[in-house]
This record gives sequence, C-alpha cells and structure tokens, in this order.
Amino acid sequence: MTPVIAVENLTKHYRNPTGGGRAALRGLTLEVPAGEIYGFLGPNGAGKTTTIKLLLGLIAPTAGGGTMLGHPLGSVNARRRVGFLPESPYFYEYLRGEELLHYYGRLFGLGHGVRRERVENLLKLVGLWEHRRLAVRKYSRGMLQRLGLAQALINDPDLVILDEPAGGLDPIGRREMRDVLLQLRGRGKTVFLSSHILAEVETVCDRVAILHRGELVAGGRISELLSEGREMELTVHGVNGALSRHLEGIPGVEIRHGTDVTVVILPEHALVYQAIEIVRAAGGQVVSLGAKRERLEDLFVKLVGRSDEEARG
Amino acid sequence: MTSPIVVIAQQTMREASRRRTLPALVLFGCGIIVSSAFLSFFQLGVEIKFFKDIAFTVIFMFGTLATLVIVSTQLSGEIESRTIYNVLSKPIQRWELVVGKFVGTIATIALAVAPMVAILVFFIYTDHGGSALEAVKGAYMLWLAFTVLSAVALGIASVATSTVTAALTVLVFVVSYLKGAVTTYLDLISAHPVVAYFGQALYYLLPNFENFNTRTAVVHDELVPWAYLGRTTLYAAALIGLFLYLGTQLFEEREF
Amino acid sequence: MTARSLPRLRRATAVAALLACVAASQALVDPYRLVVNDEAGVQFSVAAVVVRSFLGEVRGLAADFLWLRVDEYQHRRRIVGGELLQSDDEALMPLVRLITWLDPHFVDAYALGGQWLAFHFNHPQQAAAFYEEGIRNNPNDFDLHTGAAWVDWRWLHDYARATALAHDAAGLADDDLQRFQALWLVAHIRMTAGDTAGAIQAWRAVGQIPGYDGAATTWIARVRAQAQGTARGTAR
Repeated sequence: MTPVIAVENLTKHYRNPTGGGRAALRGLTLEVPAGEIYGFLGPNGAGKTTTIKLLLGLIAPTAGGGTMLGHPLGSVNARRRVGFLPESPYFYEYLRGEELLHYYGRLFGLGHGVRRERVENLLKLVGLWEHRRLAVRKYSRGMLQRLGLAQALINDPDLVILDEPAGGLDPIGRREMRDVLLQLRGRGKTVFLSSHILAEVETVCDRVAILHRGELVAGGRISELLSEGREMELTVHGVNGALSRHLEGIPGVEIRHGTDVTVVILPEHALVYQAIEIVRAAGGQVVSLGAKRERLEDLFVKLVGRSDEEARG
Repeated sequence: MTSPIVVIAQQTMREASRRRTLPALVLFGCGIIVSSAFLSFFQLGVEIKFFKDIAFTVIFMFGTLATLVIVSTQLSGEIESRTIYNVLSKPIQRWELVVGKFVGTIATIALAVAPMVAILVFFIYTDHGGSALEAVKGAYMLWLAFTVLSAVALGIASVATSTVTAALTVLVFVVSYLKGAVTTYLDLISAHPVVAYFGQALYYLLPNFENFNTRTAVVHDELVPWAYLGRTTLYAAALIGLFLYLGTQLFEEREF
Repeated sequence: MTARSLPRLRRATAVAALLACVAASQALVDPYRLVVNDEAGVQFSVAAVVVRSFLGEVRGLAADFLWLRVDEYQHRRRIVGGELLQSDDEALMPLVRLITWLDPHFVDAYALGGQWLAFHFNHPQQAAAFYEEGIRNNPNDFDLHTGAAWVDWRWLHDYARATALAHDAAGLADDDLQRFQALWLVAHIRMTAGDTAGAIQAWRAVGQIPGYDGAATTWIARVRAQAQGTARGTAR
C-alpha cells in the first residue's frame, strides 16, 4: 500500500543573516503507512515541528523532498485531505466557536448543509456544543485545544497531523482525545502525532519515530522497538529498613522505593523465589510479580542519551 | 464552491466590523460632517464650499486611518498572532490569501466611507450646494486612492510587522504628495538630461495620489469628466496590480 | 540559466511590465488631470509647490480656515468706534496670498486681495497683477473681471483693457443685475475715455435687459447732453 507520508533526505538549514546558522533537520527519511497512528517523538528542538511545517509547506526544504497522500509536500491537493492541529493553537478571537469551524469548512469548499452537520457533530464530539456561541477569546486553554481538534477534522481528512494534541487538556480530556484518535484509526484514517507525553504515545501509536538533533535515531513498530528481557519486577508493600537491607543482598538487584510500594528488579527469573522468601520472612507483602518490559520512555532516554554521547565524542 | 478569495474577503470584513476602532471612526466622521453642516461662519456660497471641504477632508482622513488600521492588522496581524498556521494549512494558495485580504479591505472601506458620503450628498442636495453626482464622483476617486493605499500596505505587510507596515505605508503616502515639490526642485537645480529623466521616472513610476484628488473641481462645482474617472480607474488598477503582485511573490517565499 | 533564475526572470519581467502599465496609465491621466484638479493654468512658485505638497489633500480645508480669519477681520473688526482700523491689513495680505496658493480657485480671496491692494495700499499695478492671476486661474469668474476692470479704469487709466475686461464680465454674468453692472461699467469707462458712441452703444445693450430700458433711456439722454455740452464748450 502507498505510504501516506513518504519523505527522503528531508533537510532544513536555517541561515543567520550575519552568517552561520543551524541545521534543524538533517536527511530525514521515513514512511508513514496508511491507517495507523504514527508517533513522532523527540526532545525540544529535535526538529519535530520543523518536519510538520515542511510537510504542510509552511517552510521550504533545503534539500530532499517527499510526498503526502501521493502529492508533493505542501501542495494544495495534499492539504485538501489533511487536517492539522498546531501546537498551542491560536484562533480568531472575535469569532464564535461555530463561526470558526464554518470559516475553515468554507476554505475546504464544503457546502452549507454538509458544513452545518459536521460542525454540530464535531462540536458535540469535542464537548463544545454548549459553548458554540461563545467568542473564542473567552475559551479556556483546554477548550481551545478541543476546538483545534474539531477544526482539524472539519474536512473529514484522510491524514490528521497533530502537534502536541494533549497540551492544555486535563486527564479526562486526554482520555477523550485518545478515544478520538482510536476512532479515527478505526475508520481507516492515518494520524501523525507529535507528542512529549510518551505514555500516551505508547498507548495509542502503532509506530513511532524518534528524532534528536534533527536526525532520526529510531523508528518502527513499538512492539519491535521495545525489548522484553529476562528481568523480573516484584512489587512489594511494607518494606522497612531491615527488609530493604536484606533485599539489597541479592546480587544484581535494583530497588526503587515509592511512597506506598517498593519495586524490586531482579536480573534473573531464578532469583524471584529468594526475594519472595526474604519479603515473607520480614513480614512484607508481595503486591505483584511480572516480567519487566522496557517502556517507551526508557528507550527514548536511552537513545537520546546515546545520541548526545556520540555528538560529544 | 465559493472561491477562497471570497471566503477570506468576507472574513476580513467580519473581523473589521467587530473591532471597535472602525465603527468608532465612522461614527466620529459622520458626527463631524453633520455638525459642520450647521456652521455659519461665512456668507452663503463660501459656507457650502467650507462644508464640502470639511466633508471631503473628513472622508479622506478617516478613510486613510481606517485603511491603515484594517490592513496593518490583517496580514501582519495574522502572522504575529499565529493564526496564519491554521489558514495556510488549508487548501488555499498563498496569493489567494493576499488577494482575499485586499478584496475584503476595500469592501470594508467602501462600507465605512458610504455613510459619510451619504451625509455629504444629502446636505448638498437639500441645501442646493451643487451637484450631488459630482460629489459622488469625488468620493469614488477618494475610494480609489484608498484601494491603492491598501495594495501598497498589503505589499509591505507580506514581509513586515504591523507597526513597520503602518509606518512605511504612511511614508509612501506622504512621499507621493511631496513628489511635486521634489520634481519642481529638480527642475530648478539642474537642466541636465539625467536629472530631468530622474524627475520623470519619479513622476511616472511612484504612486501619484494627486491623480485621485478631484476635490477642487467638486468643491467649486466643476465637472469631473467620466473619461477622467475611467482613466484614473485604469491607473489605480495598474498600481494595485503592481503592489499586489509584489506582495504575493514576497509572501510566496516567506517561511512561517 | 538555472532553475532558480527562471522564476526570478519571470518575476522581473512581470514587475517591469506592470511598471510600464503604471507609467502608461499615468500618461493617459495627465491630459485630464490638470483640468480636473486645481493646477490648470496656474503657475506656482517653488515655495507654493512645497506648501501645497506638504498639505496634500487638506490644503482646500486649510485655505478655508485661513479665510475664516480674513473674513472675520474684514467684516467684524475693521471698524471700531466709528474709526476704520487698518493695523492688521498688511498682516492679512500674506494670508490672502497663502489662501490662493492653497486653492487657486478661491475667488473671494483674489477679489479681496485685489481690492485691498488697490484701495487700501494704493498699489494698483500689484492689484492688476493679482487680478490677472486670479482670472487666469478662474477664467469664468464675474467678480474678478469687474474688479480688474475697476482697477484699470480708475487707477491705471488703461481704458482699452478695462473695457475688454468689463465686456468679458458681461458675457459671464449669471443674471440681469450682473449683466447690467458689467455694461454700466463698459459705458462709464467709454465715457471717461471720451467714446460717446461707444457709451451709448453700451447703454443700448442695457436697454435690451428686461426692466432696464428706463435706466438705459435716461443714461443715453444724459450721455448725449454731456457730449453736447462738451462740444459747445470746445466750440467756444
């Protein structure tokens, strides 16, 4: 199947008028398959927003290129089937919520009847229907984010590009956002999601790409990127000083003390029984036991750290 | 399907009407014109001339102010407030955005100036102060000047901030009136052909807002030929084409 | 030619073509512009051009505000306690001059200025020149023609020129009264010049004006009587 986004050697240098400059993106090559939620990760300044701007034609590449929905990057035909939510979206303050959606709908060439139906459905979807007649300048940060999502979906796009979509949302809002993304995938849409909230990305994304200092450091299915090793993770309640000292005696153990529980990471499966016996003898309580799975955050920190070392070396 | 230019133009008009500045300007301008109709400083004849002069000056000043306020907040304001990202991510060409803003601006100015012109025409007609038609022609010429000013401002706004746009537009406006003094001075100081050509180039290539000044004819009840209106409209169209073209080309290269 | 230079060349060509359109349309406008705005037939000094340029579109209104001062002085402050106050007369002349720079069609300013130069400052040559400029800028104004005719008649004794001006004024008259005034002037100028036949001809023209035949008859008789009296005196 033709990838929805395919870029090759995409590069962007920003030049200073006085000389010099910085490379915001260096030779990015990736493909985003259709019908998936694709996470685009990286620390601040990695080049994520630069990449999104290149996709949409807001800036021009210094080198390289690509296609989006089969059309050249930034072309009008590509944008016709794309929805975009920028980071911390800004809207016309003098407009009311529904007026704003109607305006963007008209820019997509939607007829009045279609527009009216979609505006109503989208405002209800994002929970802003009761506030549709309120001026945008009276919207809270979270409401603006929701409105931003609604305007990104006004044209029923095949590709939705979201830059930090959870910004400004409370936990309930984030869950609702997640549900919307899963719905979109369920309808065969492609979502290109740039986010700092790795836990959210890990939950919803099928694939991720990790960017650092303008370069792609990792990319692929999450399940392939995250390793499941031999380590075991034992969660214990009621660990006191004595118990902790006993557990530290286990070779290769790592102990992480929390407020209510303590996580004991054992390097091998065979050490589990020894640990459980120690806990039971000291009067502690075993809460849970399971194989330790690498989290996306762990991978992210590992890759970014490695990349920093290589840059320094 | 409505053209994006029309959609953007309508949006521009809506924004201008919801800002408090424009309605306040219109109200204030109308108030001045109405009150000047009741001044009785002079004997009859000069009184009517005075009224027409005040009315046209008010229309000119408030129209110019309205143009600067609208244009400087349109393109530059959209970029500074970052609403541009949402617009440019939609399937529109960049030149459509610039042209749409232009069309919306000149339509808004026409609507803003219309009440003042209506008051002027009303008092001319009821007080038998000359030809109402010539007054309308004079007002049309002023509106043409505003359209050219809008195009100049949009051309500058495609690369500059709102403050710089307003300042440079005023500068272009003032320089165009000072052109006469400059070319006269050049004629005085040197008869050299190069200086003469330079003076001619200044005259023909820089915007000449005096072309749109038919106020003396209107105030003194002289006829403004239709042919003059037609030719000046062509001149305005050429200037608008030039500045909009420059603006759209510069905007095309701009990065956000 | 590189790929980047082609769009630049196209753009440069487009800009050049548009500039040519601007210049061409300006050339189309020029023949009409001087007629429509206030520059037709006007010869401005450099100072006048600078002042006009700086004031731009508001120069007409500026002229009106200056006239406020002049008009107020003329009508309200010139006679105080029965005594004619002339202390500000000279100070007002520059204002009158400025008004005519700002609006060369401000006829009242030319009329007042010409009058004052002749009557109050006793500068008939300057008055005539000022009237001449006013007539050049406003060739269809009745008051300027009659004012200039008065100066040429009473001060400069240029009867031929005065007659011509008064005659032109008669052609510009808006109503019977103005036509009578102009022809009255023609007749008196010719009488002063000793052209009795011409004077009678002028009075006959007055007689054509409805309601003025009586006055015309009276004056014709008076002119003839005066001519006969003069002839008897010469004969003796």
